[in-house]
This record gives sequence, C-alpha cells and structure tokens, in this order.
Amino acid sequence: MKETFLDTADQILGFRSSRDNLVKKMVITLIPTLAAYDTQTFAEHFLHKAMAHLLTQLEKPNERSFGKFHSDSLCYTHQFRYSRDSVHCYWSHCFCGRERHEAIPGFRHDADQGRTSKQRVRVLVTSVITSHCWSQEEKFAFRGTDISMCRDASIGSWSEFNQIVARSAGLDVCLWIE
Amino acid sequence: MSADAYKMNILAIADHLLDIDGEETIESKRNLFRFYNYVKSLLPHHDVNIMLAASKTLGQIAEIGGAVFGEGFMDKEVPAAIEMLQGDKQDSPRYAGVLILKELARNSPTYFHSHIGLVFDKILIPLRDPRLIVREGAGELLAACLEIVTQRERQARSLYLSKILQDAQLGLKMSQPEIIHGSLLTYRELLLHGSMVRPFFRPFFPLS
Repeated sequence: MKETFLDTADQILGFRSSRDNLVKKMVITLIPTLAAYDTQTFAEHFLHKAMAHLLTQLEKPNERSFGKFHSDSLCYTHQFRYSRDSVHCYWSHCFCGRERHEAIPGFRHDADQGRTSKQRVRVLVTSVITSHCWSQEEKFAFRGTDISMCRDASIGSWSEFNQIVARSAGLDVCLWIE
Repeated sequence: MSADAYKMNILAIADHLLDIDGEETIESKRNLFRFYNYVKSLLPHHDVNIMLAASKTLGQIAEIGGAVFGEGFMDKEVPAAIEMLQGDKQDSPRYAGVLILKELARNSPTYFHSHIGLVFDKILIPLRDPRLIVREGAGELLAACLEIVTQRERQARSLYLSKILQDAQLGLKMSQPEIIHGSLLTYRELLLHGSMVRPFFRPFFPLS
C-alpha cells in the first residue's frame, strides 16, 4: 500500500463526484483514513482537493448530511488523541496558510464573520476527524437512539446519551463534539 | 410478545448466562455446544436485527468455547459458513455467512487462522453483493481477517494482501456502483488494518 499510496488516494478521490450517493459518502469516509495513513504525502498532494471537496459538500443543502453523519457521530477519546495531528495539519494548511482564500470557497477570516466561519470549521473538522469506524453494531445502537431529541435537550441528557452510546460500544468514555 | 421479540429476549438471556458461566466442566461444555446450535439456527433469519444479535452471542460462545471445542469445530464451521456465501439467489444466506465468519475470526483468531485462506478466496463475493448491509459486514470480516494475518502470518501475508488489493483496483474500474463501493470498502480496511507500519495510527476498536 505504501508504494501505491499516491495512485490509490488519487483514484479514490476521483470518485468524489460520483453519481452514486453511497460511493460519494464512502469517499468522504475515506478522506481521514487516507490522511492518517500517510499524513505527509496526503498533506502535500491531496489536502486542498479534499478540503475543497468537503466544503463544497457542506454548501449543498441536500448533501450536507453526508458530512453531517460524521460530524454528528461521536468522537472517542482515543481517536481524538491520535487525530489531533492530522487535524492540526488541516488547520495550519487551510486556515492559516495564505492560500486559504483560493482553497476554500466562501471562507472569510474577518472578525465579524469569524464566528460563523469558526462554527463551520468546527463542524468540518469534526467531520474530518470522526469519520471513523462505526462498526455495524455501533451503527445499529446509534440508530436506535433518537438523536434529534438529544441535540435539542440539555447538556445533562447529552452526557447521558454519551454514556448510553459508550456503554453500547463497550467503552468507558465517549466524547461528543458539536 | 411477537415471535421476533421473543427471540431477541432469548438471545439477551443467553448473553447473560454466558457471562455467568465460569468453570469449565464437561457439563458446561455440552451446554455451550447446545447453545451454539440454538443460536446458529437463527442464522439465517429474516430479521436483520435478530441475525446481528445472534451473531454477537455466537461470537461470545466462540470466545469462551474456542479451546473447548477444539480444531475440529472450526474445520466444520468455517467451510459451512463459506458455503453460505456462495449461491446466486437474491435471498441467499450470505449475510448470515458473513456474520458467522466475522464473529469466529474476531473471537477465536487462533483457531480461525488456519482457515483464513478459504475466506480470502471467497470474500470478494460478499464484498460485491448488491445489498449494502452484506458489503459492510464483509468489510468488517475483512478487517478481522487482515488483523489476524498481519499479526500471525509471515509468509503468506503479502500474497493475501496483494490479491485483495488487486481485486479492489479492478473493482474501481467497473461501472456498477456496488462494486465500486465494495472496492472502496476494501481500500479502507487495507489502509486501516493491512500494514505493519502505521505511524500514530491504531484501530480504535480492538478486534479481540
């Protein structure tokens, strides 16, 4: 895999505007996997492409949920620990580098718009780091719970919800982001 | 209570009973095997949730009973499950086969190991199945197998890996979306579980 990484990543990202929704979702899921596998190569060759894709995806109202499934999903503590590096890499490249205006359509760093951008960024970053392995059992456990209820409810029930999910996934701690 | 809800409850009870079971005696061994056969009768089943619950219980039994059942058990069970993967019918018990193999691979890797070649030979079938759930299940089965292979296999490892990689590459060139999706799934599992060198990267859900 190491030797063919460039080709592989290129091929995979080539499917990002596939007509099939499942394939599209799968590509989004694969972005962080690719980034984590070989962060340096990914950052050099594919970061812009991937980020631009994720942002356009967020712009489309009916397809936003593709990313949202992940941003809504949970970020486990161990997972977070590992992915901080790749996230940091995303941030520094896309949001602090001078190319950010070309790289990200509609992104402004102005003070008055700072908040909204930040929120968007947060959703995005979450979507980037959390795409991880929901195994089938966990997905089922997740589907069984009324997420909309949890989102509207207070923090108290959020943490309760986290506990439920953590328990069903067999983990001690479970962290909810965004 | 509906028949399906009843079955779900039975499985939940079985899970608890397995938790209690401590000492290994001839008696418990016989019971374990009986349990196994009961649970297996739910694979295949028309309700996916029941199948999933049954497969979890089955995995638990395999974990406890791995050493007790011995080699002969896997010699029989793995080919039987592989048999389920084959067959062309739409309602074939493919998903059940995938679930059984996945649980055996996760929970009894030591004994599963010697049959892993069989699985690698046939895994392409469920990975390209028209049903999403079968493909996802097959992805998890592949992950479990890759984990075993990377940990235990020295010689045949690259052989298996390159075959899987090759199939994935070919799949991406096909036009059917389900095959493309299956190939992308394969890539993901290869990236996550297929290599020894993973800088700051480990799977978050340990497989065993």
